[in-house]
Amino acid sequence: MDFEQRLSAILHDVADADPPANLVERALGHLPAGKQGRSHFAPPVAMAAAIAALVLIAGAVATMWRPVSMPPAAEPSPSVVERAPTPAPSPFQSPRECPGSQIVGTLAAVSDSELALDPAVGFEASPTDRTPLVWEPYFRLGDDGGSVVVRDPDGDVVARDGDIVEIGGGERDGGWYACGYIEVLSSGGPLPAPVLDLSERSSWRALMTIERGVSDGPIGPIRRIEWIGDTLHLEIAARHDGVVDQVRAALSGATDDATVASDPDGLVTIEIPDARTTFAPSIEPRCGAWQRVTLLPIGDGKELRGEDMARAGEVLRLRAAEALGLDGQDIVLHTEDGRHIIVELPAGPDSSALNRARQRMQAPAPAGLMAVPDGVAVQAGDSADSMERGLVGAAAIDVAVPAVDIMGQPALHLTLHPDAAEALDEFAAERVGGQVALVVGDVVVAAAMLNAPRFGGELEIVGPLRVADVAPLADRLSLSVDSLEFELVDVSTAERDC
Amino acid sequence: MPELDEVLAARAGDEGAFGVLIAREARWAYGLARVVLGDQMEAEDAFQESCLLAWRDLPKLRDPARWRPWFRRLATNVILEHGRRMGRRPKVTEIVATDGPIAPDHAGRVADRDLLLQALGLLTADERILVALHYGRDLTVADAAALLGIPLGTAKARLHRAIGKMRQRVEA
Repeated sequence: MDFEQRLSAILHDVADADPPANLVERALGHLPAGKQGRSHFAPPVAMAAAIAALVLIAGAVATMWRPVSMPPAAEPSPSVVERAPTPAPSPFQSPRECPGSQIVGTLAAVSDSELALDPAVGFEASPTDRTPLVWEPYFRLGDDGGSVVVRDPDGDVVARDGDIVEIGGGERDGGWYACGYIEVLSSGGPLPAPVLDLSERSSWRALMTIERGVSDGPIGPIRRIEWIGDTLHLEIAARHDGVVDQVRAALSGATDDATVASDPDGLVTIEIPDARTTFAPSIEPRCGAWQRVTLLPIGDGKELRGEDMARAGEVLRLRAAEALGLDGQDIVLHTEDGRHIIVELPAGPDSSALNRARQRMQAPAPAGLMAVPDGVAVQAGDSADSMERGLVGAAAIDVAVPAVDIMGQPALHLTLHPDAAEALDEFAAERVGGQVALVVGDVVVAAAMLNAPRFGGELEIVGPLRVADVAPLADRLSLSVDSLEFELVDVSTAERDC
Repeated sequence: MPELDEVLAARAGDEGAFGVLIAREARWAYGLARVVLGDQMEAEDAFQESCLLAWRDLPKLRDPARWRPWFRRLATNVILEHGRRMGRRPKVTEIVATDGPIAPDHAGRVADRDLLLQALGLLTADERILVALHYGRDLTVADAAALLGIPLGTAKARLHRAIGKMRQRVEA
């Protein structure tokens, strides 16, 4: 059976499963009283609950949102009422149909009240490079002191010609339908530091361009950029036959693993699996400073050798990443003599954070299930400082393995030691619906709601998890209780000026 | 009662007739939502919201014979919007009790299904719904494009990309 046949069979399996028995009745139960055509109605109960949950954790969510201008229907609102699923009135198109892509370019005036988009950086625009913009009626264009500007409904200017902007929306009728957010990346000037450091996921938006070719015409601009797992996917507008070779040449030396291909749509897709690669506009190595920490792994009072060194390395990577709040891939490990492990920590964090990371790497940290105080909502990545008390120590978790729940979805199955099982049940009997945090070191790695008054020592963490989430979670728990200790041998700083 | 009469009755405010209509569409819409959203509760929410919008906007349906494609397009848009919102939402997990020790599934009995669904979950909502309509609901690419209101060329390119990403993930 080929890939598409397997996909079709599995999707049919999911899509054709019987819906819940009372699905229709529940939906009818939420119809508003009276006749149709009302402009407002309450959201479904489950949706309202989800929204309430969002409101509870508004502080955390807020950090995920960019300081941008966005039509109201596409932006999270602070109250349940405003999030009711009534489409905003629009004579042209409902905001719900706004595509979820983004484009980057320089706003260029094409008349007194019209803007188009030129390639972002490092390119001399020609008429064929220019992308027409079709604006959601939410935005209004006008003149402001000789500039063509984009205004929101309050009349505030959100961008003007000459600005380098990122615009949410999607392709339509040969142009770009600007129906999402607008974020000004650079106001009226070139972007700074034209280096794309692929390990800095948060900074790519301001830095994306690849050096223009010398003979075959421009590459770019980058039209789409997204992470899939650990692979970075870039799409670049292709304008000539030699672009694939040109991109390969530009990446050569920075990464040997990039896959470059063009598709019938006129786009070049680049997939880069090595997240530590740095490139563009010229090939640049990682710049700046980092700290080298040399450690000697000790297990049961003896030095580790051979295969145990790999396990020790993963333990170190995990501990360092957790202490610094980084992805594991940001921690570089190597060994030069087969005895010592050298950990390279980025020098960005302050000295106290680096000290904490060094300490954290040397010995196992406390881990386990902790009670979350009433009225506090936590999520993975939060500090464990606010936790109420420990419920189950990691040593009392006999088994932590990836599993599947009754829906066939990935889950994390925990089997507790009998004493710990009893302690959890005592807590759960009083706090069904409360939250429990799975903590490693001083960081919450998973936060989940207790949905039963008694577990009997067998429990699963379920939800919208993927295998990619669950397996590392089990590993983290296992590795965190690993009794490995490390002797600190040396700390030094290295730096490369670029 | 013929479906046309049910639509007319529902349009006039007959909840019973409306219930019959959406019951016929429940499997199609809920199944699509399950594939695209990958979550039972989200799928139920999307279905409920589709029903609410359909009830509210049914008086605007000029041609009652177009009920089914009209509802399916509405439901598709609602599901797509839910998918986009989910991508921006933190995950909510639960701890549930189980009956006893289970056989762990590291890579075994559901591996193939899970790997494919996992790859599907890595796509954007716009890509997922296209894959779901074409492979899970057997729509032609042209019909899926029409349902989503996007050009055929865009749909083809998007589907091509989506399958490429999934294939790469599964075969990695």
